[in-house]
Amino acid sequence: MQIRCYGARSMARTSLLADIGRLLGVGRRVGLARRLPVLALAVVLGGLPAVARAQTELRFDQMTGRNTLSYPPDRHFDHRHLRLELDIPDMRVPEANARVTITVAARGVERRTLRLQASPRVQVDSIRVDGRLAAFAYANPNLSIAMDPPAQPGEVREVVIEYRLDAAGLRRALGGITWDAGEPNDLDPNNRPGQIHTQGQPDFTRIWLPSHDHPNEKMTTEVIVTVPEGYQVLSNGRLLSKDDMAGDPVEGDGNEGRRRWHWLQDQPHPIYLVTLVVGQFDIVTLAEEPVPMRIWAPLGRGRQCLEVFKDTPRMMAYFVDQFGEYPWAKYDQVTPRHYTMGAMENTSASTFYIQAASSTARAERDIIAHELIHQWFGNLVTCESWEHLWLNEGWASMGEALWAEEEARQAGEDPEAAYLGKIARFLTTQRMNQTSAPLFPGLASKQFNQPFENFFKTDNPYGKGALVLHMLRRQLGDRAFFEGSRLFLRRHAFGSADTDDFRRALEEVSGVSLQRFFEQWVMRPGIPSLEVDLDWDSGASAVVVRVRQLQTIDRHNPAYAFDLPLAIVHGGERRMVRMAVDGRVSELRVAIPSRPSRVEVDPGLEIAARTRVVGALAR
Amino acid sequence: MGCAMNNMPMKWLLMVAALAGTAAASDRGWWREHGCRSCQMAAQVAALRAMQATAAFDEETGRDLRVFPHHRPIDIIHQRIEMTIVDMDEPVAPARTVIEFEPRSDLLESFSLDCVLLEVSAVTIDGRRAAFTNDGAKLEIEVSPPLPRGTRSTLVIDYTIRDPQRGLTWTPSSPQWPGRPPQIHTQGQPQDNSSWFPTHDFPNEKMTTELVVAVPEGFLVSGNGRLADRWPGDAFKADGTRVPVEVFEWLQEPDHPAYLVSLIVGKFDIVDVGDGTIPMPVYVPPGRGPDVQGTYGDTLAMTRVYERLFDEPYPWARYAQLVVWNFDAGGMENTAATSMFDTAIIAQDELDDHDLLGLISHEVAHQWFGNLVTCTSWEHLWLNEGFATYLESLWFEADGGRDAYLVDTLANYDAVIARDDGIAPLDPAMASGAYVDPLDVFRKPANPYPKGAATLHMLRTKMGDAAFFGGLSAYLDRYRLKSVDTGQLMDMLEESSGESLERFFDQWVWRPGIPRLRVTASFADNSLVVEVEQTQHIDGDNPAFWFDLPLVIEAGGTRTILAMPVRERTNRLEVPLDAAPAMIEFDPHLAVLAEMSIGQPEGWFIAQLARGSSIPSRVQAARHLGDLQSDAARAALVSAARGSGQHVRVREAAVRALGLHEDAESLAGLLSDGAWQIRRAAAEELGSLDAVPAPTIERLRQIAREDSSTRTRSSAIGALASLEGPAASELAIELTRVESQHDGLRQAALRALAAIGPGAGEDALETAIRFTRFGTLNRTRPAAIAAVRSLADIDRERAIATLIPLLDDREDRTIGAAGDALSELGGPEAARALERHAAQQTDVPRIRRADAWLERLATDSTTR
Repeated sequence: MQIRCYGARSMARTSLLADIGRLLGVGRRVGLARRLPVLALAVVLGGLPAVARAQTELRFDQMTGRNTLSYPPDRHFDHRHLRLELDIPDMRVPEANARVTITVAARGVERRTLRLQASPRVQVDSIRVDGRLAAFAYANPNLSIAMDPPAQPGEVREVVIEYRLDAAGLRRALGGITWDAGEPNDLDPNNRPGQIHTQGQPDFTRIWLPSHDHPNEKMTTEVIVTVPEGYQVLSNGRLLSKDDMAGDPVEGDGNEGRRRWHWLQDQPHPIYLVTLVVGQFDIVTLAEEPVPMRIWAPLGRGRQCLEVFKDTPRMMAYFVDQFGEYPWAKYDQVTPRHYTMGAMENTSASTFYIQAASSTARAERDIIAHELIHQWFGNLVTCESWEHLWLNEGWASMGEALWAEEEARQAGEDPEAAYLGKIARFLTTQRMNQTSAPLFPGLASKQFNQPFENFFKTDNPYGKGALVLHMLRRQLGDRAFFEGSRLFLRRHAFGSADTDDFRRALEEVSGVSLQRFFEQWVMRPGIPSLEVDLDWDSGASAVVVRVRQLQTIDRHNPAYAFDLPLAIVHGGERRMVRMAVDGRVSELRVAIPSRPSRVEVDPGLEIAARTRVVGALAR
Repeated sequence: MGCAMNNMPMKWLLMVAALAGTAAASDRGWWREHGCRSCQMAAQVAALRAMQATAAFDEETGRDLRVFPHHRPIDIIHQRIEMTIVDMDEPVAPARTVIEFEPRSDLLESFSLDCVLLEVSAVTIDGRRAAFTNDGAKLEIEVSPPLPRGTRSTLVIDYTIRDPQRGLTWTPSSPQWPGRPPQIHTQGQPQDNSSWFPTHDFPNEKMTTELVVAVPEGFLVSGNGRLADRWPGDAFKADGTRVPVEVFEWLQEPDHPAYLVSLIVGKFDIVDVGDGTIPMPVYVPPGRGPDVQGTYGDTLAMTRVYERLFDEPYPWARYAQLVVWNFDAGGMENTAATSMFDTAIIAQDELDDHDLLGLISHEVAHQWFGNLVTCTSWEHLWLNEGFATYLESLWFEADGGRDAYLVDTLANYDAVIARDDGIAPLDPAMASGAYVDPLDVFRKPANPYPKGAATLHMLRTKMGDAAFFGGLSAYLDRYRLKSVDTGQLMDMLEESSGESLERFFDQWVWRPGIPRLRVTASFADNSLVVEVEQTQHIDGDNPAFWFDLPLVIEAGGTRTILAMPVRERTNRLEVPLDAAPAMIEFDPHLAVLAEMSIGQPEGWFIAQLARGSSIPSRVQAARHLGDLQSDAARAALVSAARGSGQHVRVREAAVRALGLHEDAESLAGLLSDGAWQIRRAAAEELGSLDAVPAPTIERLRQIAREDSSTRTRSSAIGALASLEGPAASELAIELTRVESQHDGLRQAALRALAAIGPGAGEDALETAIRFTRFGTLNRTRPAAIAAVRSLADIDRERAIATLIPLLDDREDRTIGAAGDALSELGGPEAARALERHAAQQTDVPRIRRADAWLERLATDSTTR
């Protein structure tokens, strides 16, 4: 997911974030509901003012002693397939009849209860297991379904839930299902067609679709939607059929002029990537190879969208080259009317904010690249829990920089400058990050109440995630970095993975032990604050470099250890030195014949730090 | 690595004492572990703890001091070690190692190997001389021209092995050990093999290995894997003398890590205990062949049990077990060639009260867990040792059923409860990179052996047998011949069970300490109220443990099983009941590794002791009844101790509890019990009393002299020393002359003399001094040295004169004990000797040890 908010509208956006937070109970902990908009705003405005807030420990409840970290849920059932049948008689009435069929197999020991998540908008009529009515209980958000007799390990059960979906009042929802019934309104006086889109990440699919709503489980999915004539339906995977329901033999049954769209996603993916878009679009084609790539544009905007999204095939070719075969049946991009918060990488069918439809290729290239690379990082290999979100978003943000580099290369411009330009932007934001453990969550951390918070934290999965990848790229070199990343994708293809899995893949191809790197840059919050003192010792004819680490250093936050690159420029020569930094103070002396003309500290932005250069050789 | 104690089965709570070379404590009840008997151990634990707190973080510099896995710049594919030994009494050998490797980095310009105090004369890469520096710890090799990634290359290092201080133990023949042939054995774990061959000495790299060793005719060589070849040849001494030698070539073909490389040279009786499918030779000292079956006869059955449980055939070419001289640990699981400690061969007439089944099964288990799948760094040692310890219990289960399994699991629980009271972040967790010396990991309070085993038992309980064993079988399949970390195990178990295990691993593996529960249960107004309070330290780094505590409620003739959710500091459960329960059991099958102090009506405990649903449940009842000083409690304990169909473990717990009741009369009666465990426990409990009647003393004397169990005799002399003081010294001196398994009785008698103190008299000092000398078993000498230290006031000069030369001994345990004694005795001679010793040391752990002695001297002289 890429979150974009614009100018004056950001206030409206952020209050919507607060709304969605309330809807999902984000504000359960006192103070959080109020704090969340502030955090979101900080992201919006591009700055992370080390959020001065009295924060209690999110990991622990002082009063009871309870461990309050967010652990991933059990996976007592292997979810193999989910088939959703949705019947929408009238787009002007925001409700639908639904039947979801979930094929599961018990794991471990015999299981008596299948627990799914659903919101109160899912109004269950009946649940059958292998054809027989089953008892169930609902306590928001859990829908518990009795397995009688208990399911033995490996035993497959088919669970069918019939429900009515109540989407009333979700005309501008930010998560779950958004249903615009198509009535005239202030913004658009014309009576336009209705539209539906969904937003699953992180845990909003449950709002409209009862399911195991956590990224640690993957399944194939099938979406079958019957809509009034004239409407189109987009979902994940391949379109198997588009049946005209008028052929139905029963006259007057309401099916005249209706169509049934049947989509099949036949490679497993997590539930948050399930998408459903219903509306009337200009469907235009960007390319047919290696997979069909279409844009579902607002009516009348097809041509413009072809222009905005025109680079998609070139990006596709580049990412295929770097990361291997594109994993899905197609790549569609759609701009629904009320999708306003950026874009979402739903498997093979990314959703973009409506503003993109009237934008330019140059303005949107980052976000297009971002969602496209997610099809590998996020969709093919998925963060096992929201703790590891940076594996999705860090890579997607890195994808923006990689594409900038490649685009410059193809255009005959300076690829390094283009790439570093993007990295510098991430660094600028992270330089304001002054968090420390244990009060603040690290880049990968279970310290959150609701998954949504992870997208907005100071140790940001996007910017800091990309910086971590950039540092790894520089430390390991391109060969090992990309080979390790490909190994990671190959090894966990169609599965979920955590930070350690990524580390192990990189270690395996490079021989470099990265545990310490990951501990300090990924597990722990904050970045180092460096004061680099550059001095000239004329007596010894040596450059004296003294590095002080000024950030919080204690048992929870030991000093960082890294090699700081220095360029000593002397008589037209440029000598690169890597200085080993560890502890509060580190010192290095480099003997050279005479006073250098300048010393550059970390010219390639290899260390994510707040750095102040002082001393006689400081420029 | 396994640990074995003299005179007792290995139990890990004693590991600290064992590794420090101090006298063995006895297998006492859990409540005693906090008491004065273990104060020496407690002091060592405290010292270790202080060291480990600084091991994680340096306050002064702000540095992260944890140990992270080493970089692996080269992929070592095969390593051959060639040695020529011309004289087994001359501890010098010219050697060469040949390493086939490929660079892992894009362009290899230099790399280093671990190489501790070896004299390197030449290094070549692909036949070209390579520049190198050798600082005594690392051999830094320049690669010129640099090698691109993946280039298969050959590195040859010529060097000399000169009587290394670790890694390779060379035992020449000696007139003080008449008839003992000279011997060499090696011990690689944790990072000591680089003291005899340069290598990547960290468990995250695996390779095939080969030993080509020439030894004087008549000696045998054992290595890992299979004997590929042997041939006669000639070698020449420095003076040109021709020596007929035999060359042995051992080849270990599937990959394994450097620390498991083993070389043993000596003369042995060899008896195969297999059935011909896998060669299973046991190498024992000449003449002991007839005792092999009695000691090692179950090896094959153990192997079959593990093959079946984990669906993974025994992975190596053979399984040899070799009893070697001057062995530091109990056993060492070197791939296909386990080393065993000096007396790991039991005489026929000692088999009643001695066995090595725990140790033997432990090392067999390592052939899968540790050797086939290896911890990637010592941080994850529990993946080796926790499994090996747990697989002991699985062998006992396969052989003796569920009771035997639970008895062994209870012992592991007790060991953890006695020691693991750490608090994060200062104390290291079971899995933690906070250590100075890798050996610290083997002996820390959150100990990988018993806590690892307890963790696995909890996982099995949580997951169910099918998912647990299925998951482990998949784990072995996926990571065979590889190195792994804790997360990889967790992922496999999550996959097989569907359970989310991160919380479980966080609290049991990644954090020190365990829950200390105060449990109360009461019945009133048709309602049973159970309250569970977590009394251990709780804060942000140590949140309350999270688990379900199983309860078994017996009421109205039926038993109901409940799981009480425990999530917070205080937890409460109310169960409506029609009538008062007859008994409540808390966690009878050890689902939760917790210390429990239970408050409930006495009658419920009495019922539980009689008919609790498991042995741990009955032991729990016995222990609590020990604290309830009523006649009813005492009567119940006496009845349980005397038998009436109870398992011997329950009976023993009842005997221990009677000790708390100070019931000398009942205990005296139990001295005549038919089971040696009961006689021994009664003797020990009597020894803990202030006084006993004269006939009981007589009976103890009789037992010390002639009981059929030498372990019981050992306990009796210990009790007499405590009860009688100097009056027991004559008998103790007499018993030092008696030969027994592991020298157990001799060591017990020496400990008794030490306990009596200077009142024991001059003969006692003379006796102790005699057994400090070379020629006495290496584990007995420390007991003798401790006795000399304790008796030093009889003749201080003589004591110190005895101890000082021992600082130069060839046996490390003796050096350690002598240094400990001298630093405690103090005085100018001792100080001079210790300073001289410290100045001579080159080996880092020995330097550290010597420095600690000097520090103690300095502290003591200031406090005096």
